[in-house]
Parts: sequence; structure tokens; C-alpha cells
Amino acid sequence: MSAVLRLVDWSDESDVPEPAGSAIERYKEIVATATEAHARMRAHDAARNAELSARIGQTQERVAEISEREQMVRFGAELHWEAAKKQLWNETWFRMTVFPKPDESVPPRPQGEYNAAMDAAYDVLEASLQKKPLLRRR
Amino acid sequence: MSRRDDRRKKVEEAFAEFRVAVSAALGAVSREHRLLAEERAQDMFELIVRGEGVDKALNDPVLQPALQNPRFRERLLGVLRDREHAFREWTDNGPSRLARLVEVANSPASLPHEDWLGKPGHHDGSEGVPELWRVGTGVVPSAPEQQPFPVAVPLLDHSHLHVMSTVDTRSTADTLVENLLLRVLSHFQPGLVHVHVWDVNQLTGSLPGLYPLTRAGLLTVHDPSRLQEMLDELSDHIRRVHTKVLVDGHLTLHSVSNEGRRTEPWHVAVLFGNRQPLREEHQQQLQRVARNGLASGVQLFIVDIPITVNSPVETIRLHDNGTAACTMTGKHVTVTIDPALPRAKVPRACAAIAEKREERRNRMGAFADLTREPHWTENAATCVLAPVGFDDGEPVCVRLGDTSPHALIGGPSGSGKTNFLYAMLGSLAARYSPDELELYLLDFKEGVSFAQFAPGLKDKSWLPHARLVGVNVNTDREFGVALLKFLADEMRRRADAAKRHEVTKLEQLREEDPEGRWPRIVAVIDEFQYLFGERDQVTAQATQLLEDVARRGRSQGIHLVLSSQDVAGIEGFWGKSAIFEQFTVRIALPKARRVLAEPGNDAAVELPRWHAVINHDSGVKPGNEIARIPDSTTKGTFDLLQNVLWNRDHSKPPSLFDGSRTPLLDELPDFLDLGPGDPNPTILLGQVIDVAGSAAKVRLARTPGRNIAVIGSVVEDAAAVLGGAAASLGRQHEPGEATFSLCCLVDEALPNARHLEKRLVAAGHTVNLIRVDGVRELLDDTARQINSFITGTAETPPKPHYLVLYAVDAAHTLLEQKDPTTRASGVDSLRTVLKHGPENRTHVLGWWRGVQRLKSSLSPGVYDDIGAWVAFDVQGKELLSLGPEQVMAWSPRPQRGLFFDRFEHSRPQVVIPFDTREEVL
Repeated sequence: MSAVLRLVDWSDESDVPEPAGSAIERYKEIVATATEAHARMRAHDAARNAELSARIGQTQERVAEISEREQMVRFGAELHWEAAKKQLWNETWFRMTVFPKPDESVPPRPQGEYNAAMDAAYDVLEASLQKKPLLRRR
Repeated sequence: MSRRDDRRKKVEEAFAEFRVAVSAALGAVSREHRLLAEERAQDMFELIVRGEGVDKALNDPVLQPALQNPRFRERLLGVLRDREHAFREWTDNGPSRLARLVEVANSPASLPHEDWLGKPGHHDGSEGVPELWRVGTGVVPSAPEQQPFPVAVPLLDHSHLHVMSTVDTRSTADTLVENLLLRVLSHFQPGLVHVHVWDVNQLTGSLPGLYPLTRAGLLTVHDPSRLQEMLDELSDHIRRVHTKVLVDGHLTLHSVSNEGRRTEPWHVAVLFGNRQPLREEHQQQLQRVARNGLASGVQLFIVDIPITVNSPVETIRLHDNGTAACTMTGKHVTVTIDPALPRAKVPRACAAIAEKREERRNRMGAFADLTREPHWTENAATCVLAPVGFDDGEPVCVRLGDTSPHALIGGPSGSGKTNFLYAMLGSLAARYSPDELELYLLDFKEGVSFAQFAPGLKDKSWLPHARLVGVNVNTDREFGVALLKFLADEMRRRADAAKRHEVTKLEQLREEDPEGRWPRIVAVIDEFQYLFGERDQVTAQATQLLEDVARRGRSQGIHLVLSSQDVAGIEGFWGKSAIFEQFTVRIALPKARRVLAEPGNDAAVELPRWHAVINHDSGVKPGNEIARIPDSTTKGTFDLLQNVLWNRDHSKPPSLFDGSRTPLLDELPDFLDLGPGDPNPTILLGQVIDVAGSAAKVRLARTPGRNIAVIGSVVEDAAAVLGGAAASLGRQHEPGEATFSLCCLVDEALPNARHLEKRLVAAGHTVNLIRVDGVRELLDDTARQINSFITGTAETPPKPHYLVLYAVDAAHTLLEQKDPTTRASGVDSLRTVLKHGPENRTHVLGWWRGVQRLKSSLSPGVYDDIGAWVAFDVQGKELLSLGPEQVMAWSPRPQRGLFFDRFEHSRPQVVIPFDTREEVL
């Protein structure tokens, strides 16, 4: 066919010559690799997005849950704090601090444990504030 | 420590613990929350980016803050990595391979304009035609790297182009079209590309830069209201190409020209529309042109006309934002059309192209241009094709093949017919070797036109392809018949060979038998109308043979080229449509009549000198091509070519038939082949008018009737026959075997008789030269001897005795006298000799000067003692008693005699008497 399509090495990038045949066909074939790449990319995007959508759907609930929990923990903590404040008010010598900031560096453990620890710590505090009489009545 | 202090310490410690616990509880949940929220945010970010497509997302202003956000970096990198992976192959190879593909042509098809704009091209298609023509640059926006690559479209033989623009981008469409046209025009030799422009809105103004091309006829601008004309022009061109060029299995011009340079120019038709469809009939015709055009070199650029085309087409759509999309590259490639060429340079470039073309056109085109080297490179398997002249610098060809088997050339005398024939024969002989093409040339005219092709006195060369040359054939119409018969026999031979190889056509036979030699045969008969001049047997035979060869010769590779001053006058020709139809190639010289299909085709009437109309279409007007025929007859043209070709191959000279020359007896192969040994010798009476130049023979068997009579009044004629006959006999006897009695009964025959005597004596034979005074005695003696043989009283067996009698009738009065004793006259003796002589080996070769006189010598009413005769200047009907009715047609012809052998022939033959004058002793 066209004698123009000689096998000539042009750039030093690739040493593979084009196979003989219609140049028009070859051109379209090569452009097709870009089209296919685009399609592959979009297909992959779609697949990945399907995954992400699913995950976002799942995490939606968890976020609500954690939010609520966080609120509860905060609520509980504030309750305890207010109570402690009240009790320490009578201790004239005591210097109250501000409400503690969350410490995210603590090791991950089930929240219940931390909640329990907080309750326990409050109890210990409360106990420590009890005035013991000088003489014990029998 | 006091208890109070203890307590305070405890409280403080407890409080501190409590604080820590609170902090921890809050922190744990807070962290979990945060982490989850972050993951969600990233997921949503990725979802948005992928959903939009990362390429678009990267450019989306709304997303910029998110894209900059380091928290999303990881995800973004992941998306980018995926993209790179998907495009790996493209990124590595795509653009570079495309660039290589487009730029391999290394020509105006792809190079930047600085490299070629302004220089006329030189390609003629023989090195291949670029398939891809650059229009601009493309990028794949969705690819990781924006690597630009050249965008190109197929044109010319491969595809049409459709451009769709908007109101704002019309100028880009103009640029695109102009760029492509300039690339094409600058690639090829000027003249190989013709451009047609039609704009629905304006007559001038479209593609102004190309206007200098109009003066060289390379650009035709069509009026907006005359679209029909342009479409008709294109349709006619397509039709012409199909009829003339696309035959014998070639489906496209592209495939024809693979064997050589492009024979037909391309026509690019640019149509500018206004986004409205055309009128229905134009739309349909345009679609037809589109469908059939590519194979015939007609390509369309359709701009802003909505149309569906059922043939290969690429579309470029121009967008308002300055980019374009092209069907070659698809929707994922953004194309940027190359910028316009520098305004000042375009007209200059077109002017240069136009000038080059004019130069070529004006180059008159000489004989040397028709017959350029290298010689003998073409193959005659499917046809013979040769240029015979020039039209605007481009060669115009004559083609003889299966579909255009025979040619008719007409033109009054002086119109250049001989010149045309020389141009055609020279061109054919230059291109095809003698193994591919054989020529049989016959000219009926007076004056030597084909003598050039045979060896002559001054120029010993001949045209290697010529196998037979007949000149001065004027009155020897038999030779025309002989040639046609020879062709018919050759045709049969080829048909038989084809059958043996189980094929039907020459082309196939050549394939099946590559070792064999199967050249195409072209037989040229000039002034062939003479062949049909009389209403006689010759015409009848010629007509029948011509019909045979005309009809069946085509598939056996036998082609007839008949030329005539006056085609109109050939009654026989016109009546026979079967013959006429086969002559599809018509060549008309100035003022020729009836060669082209009248009355519609009157192109020959206005034709200037040195021109010819060449038509492969049985003379209908669309098939006309007008060519200027170069001078092919003056010194330095044909003769030079013939010498060059002769030097290359002079192994086989042609047979030459020259009607003006008498054949030399001593050079005739049939004469030289004669020798002693055959008990029944053969005598040669003259040369038959056939292709082989064979001799007219009579066998002198020992049976009654084997006597020869020559009838005529001219001594030279008679002497030639008698001399030739006797000389033949002389060669067939050993010395002493035979006796020759030469009776010269008129003075004027004496030199001839003496000459014959000399020849026979030199050969060692016994010769008696007898005059009037001795003839009676000779006859009486001979008769007596014969009687003795008959009656059985002879002592010795009969020896060959030949009586050569010059002008028998001159001695008649003498012979009629009766012998007083025997009461027998000399005439009686003569009759005895004639009657009983041949069976006793005595034969008479006699000359009588008239039919009546001959009859007087014979017994009344009994003429069968003369077995064979040659008659010269007598009227045909006088011979009726001596031969069949065909003798009626005979009338005296100079240097020709009528020969009839009652024992061999059904009809008489015309013979040429020998020249016995020169001796080879």
C-alpha cells in the first residue's frame, strides 16, 4: 500500500518500529490507547466511588453514635465536675482549676473503662473529702 | 504530719486523679470522633474528586481549598497515582508514536510551513502518497501529562473531510481548509491537484490566498448559483476515469498508479455552506459524488453543510472556546487547529505553484518525452498503454486491452495521420520489449510510410518489434487478406493454447505458461479502405476475416489499428455493426469525419494542426481527450529511437512485403530449397501474395495434363514465368538427367531464352536453343518419340524432356502446314506432345499470347491438357473456359498474373512473377 509508511526510527525513546499497514488505521489505534486509558480511569473511579459511597453510608451512623456518646461523656463529666466543685467550695484552702481538656493521647481502650475510671476517681475524691470525727463513737 | 495536712494531700491527689480521668474519658471519645470524621471527610473528598474526574477537579475553583489541604493530600496522591497507572501506555508511547506516524512523510503533509511554503512540490505519486495530513495539535486533557501530538486527517484517495463550525469559528474553518490545501498543493507536482471552490454566500472571497492558482487552471471558483455545474463537472470526471482508466480489475486510481506515477490528477472540491442543507437534488448528487469520488481521485471538503455521506469521511467540529474535536482523535482529545499561514506568503506560494505549472504546460512535449528511457520496462499482461501526445504538459495515452481492443484512426490526407502513427508506434516500442509486443504493419498507400520500420539501403536497422512490414501494397489487396488470415490463424493458435491450459484470456495464459512467449500483437493497416475498395471476392474475404479477428481477437491479445483518410466511404465497414462496435478507441485528426460519434461529437472539426482527439469511449463526447502530437517523423525523432532499440535487439528482422519490388528468384528460400531427388519435380511460377512470401508451385507428376501455359502479350512477364519454371527444374535434375529444348519463336524473346540457356548450361544440363526454323522438327521428333513410348516400341525408357516454348502462337501458321506424307501438321504433333507427353516425362512450358491462340493449339473444346496456367493481360471472362468462375474478376494488373492449377486449386491465385535477371553463379 502506501510506500510512505517506512519503518524509520525517529526518536531514541522507543526502538520499536510501527508495523506496516495503513497509517490511518495505525493512527486511530494509537489514539484509542488514550481513549481506553481514560475509560479505564473513569471505570476505576466509578468502582472506587462505589466503595467510598458505601463506606460513607456506614460511617454516617457511627458518627451519629459517637457524637451522642461524646455528648453523654461530656454530660457525665460535667455533672461530676459540678458536684466536685460544690464539695470543694467548702474547702477554703483549695484552688479550683478549669474544666479539663480532652486528652487524646490516652491509649485506646473501650470507652466504658474510661467512664468507669472517671466514676471511680470521683468516688475517691468524694471519699477523701469526708470529715472523720476526732473520737470514734462506739 | 497533721491529719489536716494528710487530708488535704489526699484531696489534692484525688482531685488530680479525677481530673486526669475526666480528661482521659473526654479525650478517648473525642479522638474516636475526630478520626472518624476525618476519614469521612477524606472519603467525601475522594468521592468528589473522582466523581468529577481528577483532571476537571484539579481545575475546579471551588475545590481549590480542599485540594491545597494537606489532610487530603494522601487521598489526592492516590487518585493521581491511579490516573498515571491507567495512562501508562499512552504516556510512554502514544504521543511519540503518533508524531512519528504523521511526520514520517517528511513533506508538506506534516512539516511546519517554514519548511515548504513557497516551494512548489515535485512528488508525482510514484513514491507513494502520504496518508495523513496535519491539521493541528492534540492533547488528552484527562491524561497525567499534557503531551501535545500532531493531529492529522486522511485525504485524497482515502477520505472526505467534513468541517462544522459556529458563527464565531468560521474563520478557523477557513484557516483549516487553507492550511490543508496548501499542504496538498505544495507536496505534489503542480498540476496533479486541482481545486474547486463553491461558497453558498459569495463568488469571490473564499480562500483568497489561493487565487493565483486560477491562472494556471488549478483553481476553479464556481458561482454560488451554479452548484449544479460543479457537481456535473465532478460527475463527468468520475465517469471518464471509470471508463478509461479503471478497467481490468483496478478498482481505484490508487491501485492503478502503484505501477507507476499517478496518471490522473486529484480534484479537491471545497463546498462552503451556511449550516442549511442543500436542495434535495444537489444533496443527492453530492452524495453520489462522495460515494464514487474517492476511487476516481475526487475528494470533498464540506464546510458547514449538514450531510450524511456513505463513504469514508472525517469530521472536525470547531468549538467556540477555540478548541476543536476530530473524529480521528475522538472525544477525549482536545484539538487546537494550527494557526493560519502567514498572510503574505500564501498567495506568493500559490503564484509559484501556478508558474511552475505554466512552465510544464508550455513545455511543448516532444517525441523524446514520449519515449524516454528506461526502455522495455512495461508489462503487456493486461494491456498496452502508451502516451501519444500532451494536453497542457500532461501525457495523453492510448490504451489497447480487453476492454478497448481495437482502434480506428481517421483524418484526411495531410492531417498528420502518419505522424500520429509514428508517435504511437514509437511510444509503444519504447515501453514494451519485443517479447511483450509484436507489430504487423501494412500500408496500402502509395508512397512509403512504413518502410522506415524495415531494413533499407541507407538505414540497415529495423524496428525490433516489427514481424511483418508491408509497403506499396496499393493494388495487392490480397496481401491485406493474407495478413488478416495470418492473424486469424494466430488467434486460433492462442485459443488452442489457452484451452490446453484451461484458461480463456491471454492474461491468464501468460500466468499459466510463464515460460511461453505470448506477446500482444498490434496490427496496423494504413488506408485500409482500399481493402474494401471493390465489390469482389477479396472484399468479401477481408470483411469476414476482419469480423472474425475484431470479435475474437480481443481476448487473445490481438489488436487492430485501422487508419483511413476516408472512413465515411467504407460501405462494408459501416454495414457491419459487429465489426464497428469492437473499435472502441477512436482517434480523430483535424477534419476527420465519422470517426467520432456524430452529430454530437464534433471535436474534430475545430481541431488545430498537430492535434488529435483521443477517445476510448466509442466516440461519445465525454470520452474526448485532446492531445498535441509531437513531431515524430523528422530526422532525429523516430529514426533515432529505432536505432537505439535496434542496437538492443537485432536478432530477428521482419518479413518485408514490398509491392513495388519483384521478388528475386535466386534469393527465394523455396527456390534455394530445391534439389535433385524427387521423381516428380516442382516448378515455381511466381510468388504468392501471402505473409510468408511463398512460391506458387506446380508439381510435374507423370500424369496427363502436367503442362504449363503462360498467357499474355508482354514478353517480360512470360519470360519471367518460363524462366523461373525452367530454372526450378534445372535445380532438380543432376547434369545429364534431363533435356531442355528452348524454342524462341519471336525475336524479342531471344535475350531471355539465351539467358535461360546460359543458366541451364552452367548447371550442366543439355540445352537446345531452337528458332522458328527448327520448331517443326522438334515437335515432330518429340511426338514421334512419345508415340514410341506409348506403343512400347521405344528402346530406352523416357528421359525428362522439357520444352520451353516462347510464343507458340507465333509459329502457328508454320505448324499448321501439313506434312505431305503423314498428313499430320505441326499442330497435331504439338497436340500429341501435350496430350501424351507428361506421362512420358515430357512437359511443355509454353507461352501463348492470347487465350484464343492457346485454344487454337489445343484440340477443340478440350483444354485439360493444360493443367496449370498463369494469365497476365487478358480479361477475366476470356478465361472462363480454362478455370472456375472466380476468374471473371480478373483484369490486367501490372507485374501481377493470375495463376490456376486445376489439379490443386478451387479458385485462382494472384502471383508476382520473379525477377530472374540476377545470377548467383
